[in-house]
Amino acid sequence: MTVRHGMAWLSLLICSSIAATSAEAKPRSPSPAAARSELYAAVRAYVAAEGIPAFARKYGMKCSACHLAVPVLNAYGQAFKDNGYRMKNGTDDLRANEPGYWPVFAWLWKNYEYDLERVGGQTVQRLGRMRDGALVFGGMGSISDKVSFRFLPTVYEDGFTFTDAGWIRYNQAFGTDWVNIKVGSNEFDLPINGGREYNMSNSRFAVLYAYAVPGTVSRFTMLFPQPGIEVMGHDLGSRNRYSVNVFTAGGAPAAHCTFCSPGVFGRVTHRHEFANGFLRSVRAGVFGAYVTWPVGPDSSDRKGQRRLGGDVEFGLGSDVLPLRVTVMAMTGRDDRALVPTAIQDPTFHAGLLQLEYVPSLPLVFYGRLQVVRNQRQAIAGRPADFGDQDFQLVGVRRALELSSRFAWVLELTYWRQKIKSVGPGGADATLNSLWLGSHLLF
Amino acid sequence: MSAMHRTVVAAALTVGALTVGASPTPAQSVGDPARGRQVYERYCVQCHGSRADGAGEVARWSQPKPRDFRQGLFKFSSTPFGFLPTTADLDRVIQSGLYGTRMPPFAALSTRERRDVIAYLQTLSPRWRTEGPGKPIAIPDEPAPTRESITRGRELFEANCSKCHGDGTGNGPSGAKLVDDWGSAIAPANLTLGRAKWARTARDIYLRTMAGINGTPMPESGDALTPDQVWQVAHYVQALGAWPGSTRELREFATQLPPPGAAAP
Repeated sequence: MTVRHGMAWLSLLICSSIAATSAEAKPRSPSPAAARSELYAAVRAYVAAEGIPAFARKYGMKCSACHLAVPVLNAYGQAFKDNGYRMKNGTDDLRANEPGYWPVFAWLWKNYEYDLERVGGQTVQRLGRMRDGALVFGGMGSISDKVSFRFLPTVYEDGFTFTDAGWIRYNQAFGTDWVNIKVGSNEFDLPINGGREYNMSNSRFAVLYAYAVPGTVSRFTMLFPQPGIEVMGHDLGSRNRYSVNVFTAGGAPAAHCTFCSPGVFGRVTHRHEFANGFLRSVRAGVFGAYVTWPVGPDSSDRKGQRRLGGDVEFGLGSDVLPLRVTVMAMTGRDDRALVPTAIQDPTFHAGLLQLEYVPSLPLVFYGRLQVVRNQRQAIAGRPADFGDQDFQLVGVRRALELSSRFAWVLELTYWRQKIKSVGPGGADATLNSLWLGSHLLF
Repeated sequence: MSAMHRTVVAAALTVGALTVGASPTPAQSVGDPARGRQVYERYCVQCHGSRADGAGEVARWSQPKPRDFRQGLFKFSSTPFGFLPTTADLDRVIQSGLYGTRMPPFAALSTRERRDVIAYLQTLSPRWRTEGPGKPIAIPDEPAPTRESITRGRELFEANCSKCHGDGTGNGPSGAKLVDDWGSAIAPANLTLGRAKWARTARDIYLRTMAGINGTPMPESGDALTPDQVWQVAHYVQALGAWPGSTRELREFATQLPPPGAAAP
């Protein structure tokens, strides 16, 4: 029951797939298997992006060289990633490494979570439990100057295994950093990547990219890696960057074709550093996505969803130990055919304010405010705020050990999420969670 | 498009538009050593060590060894042999790295980060207080490389360089016995690769030939060669490999010349 209950929340947070068609309806409780698959997908997304001590071993550097605080990248780490996990210094070829190097790593984690769930002001659930752990054993890096790769099998404690978070990248096509081609399961170049959150609980499902309008049949979210092709480029130091992904939405019904849900995602960013003053850097970006999802009796018809957003990140006080402030806004619109019984295209807006502060290595404090507001409900008669979300998160993360050999990280996070008008009688549902996580990477 | 969305996108585009075209500039002004220490702790300590003595965690796997900054001895400089490097010299190594070594390029670091860490490095050796950087070597305008200059450069290379560099691949008779000032074996550069640890262009080759490499058996040319002769050597070296600025015609011409040292007994 506890797992089922947690998964119900998870599903709610992921896609707002609220089955009810009126304000009196309760949140849908999906099957445990379906909900668990969503959790697995999220963990896979996290694993696909997590920093790996393999690089620290290969290049003899501390994790903190590339991470503002594990796992969030700093500018140097972003440039390393943009280069296809290469230093471009004649040492990227596996044969160039001495002592002999294998691009493999392992990552273990175990977590404890305590949840307090309230609906309409009444406590309906108190629950503390160990969350599923997992072992990731994979490989990633550069085979040569031209070829980079990633392959990440993940084994969960219940024996479930995934091997799909992988890609191959051809670096510097035509001899330029501006054209790099990657084929496989690609994470999108998002301002705040779901795979690089400080907290790896289901709080990440509240990231606004994962929001889906109430009642939609689409399971697409920018949060998860999608199978397809990515072309990206950047200048020296990755101060100017772009990426374009052409993909098919993962998990879409594919009974009638092999490329049923085509989509495109793109992002452009620019980072500027200031030579003097308290403001150290500004990174600005815009992103957008258009993806289709099969509908109809035989899934032969495709209907579109679009997302458009902008973000600005400010680095304050210090380049090395900064206060980082990120402001982001996003808007979304779905075709009404994606929502059964809809009378109009649903639209929503979302906004985010995130603060990160690194007082010393390897300690980071973080906090986030986030809102999602449905501007236009698809289904007639629904309250205007049905499915609106408010989300707050604060936490601290500290590495007990952070060397070129391994990393051991502890995190403590509290978050609160309110989803409006989805409870009985149109009551709000609120989830308060406390999370203690432990990660070992080597 | 809603008002909120328009506002955010406009703000993002404005910030971007204001800053487009900006690029990192040389770290020339005075940095903050205290902040430089923070930069050092994040990016440098693993190799160069917490005491800046070149004995970091991975130093034992590094060849060549990381610099011991307490000695104030830097290999690559635009200043004459034995003199401290300029801030621009240090900035270049930080930005571009040293090819084929564990010193990676840090081009993604901000100007301030590089400026600060250089200021910190300049507190680690008393040499910085007593001597200060040397005066950069003046580099005259580069003459156009020709068959004649390459032919003459080969002769000069054979007379002055092939003892260690051999035919250009680093296979000279003395090459296997070289050690640096820290007692580690050191191999002569293979000049046929089209780039070296520090050098990328003919101008770089000129400077290394003139100034040598501190702490290694690579000497300065001193009065042994005139500037014109150093350019001839640089053009010959450039023609040994696909160095930037070399032409296929001159590279093919260089291959037709007898390799340096071929006439030696």
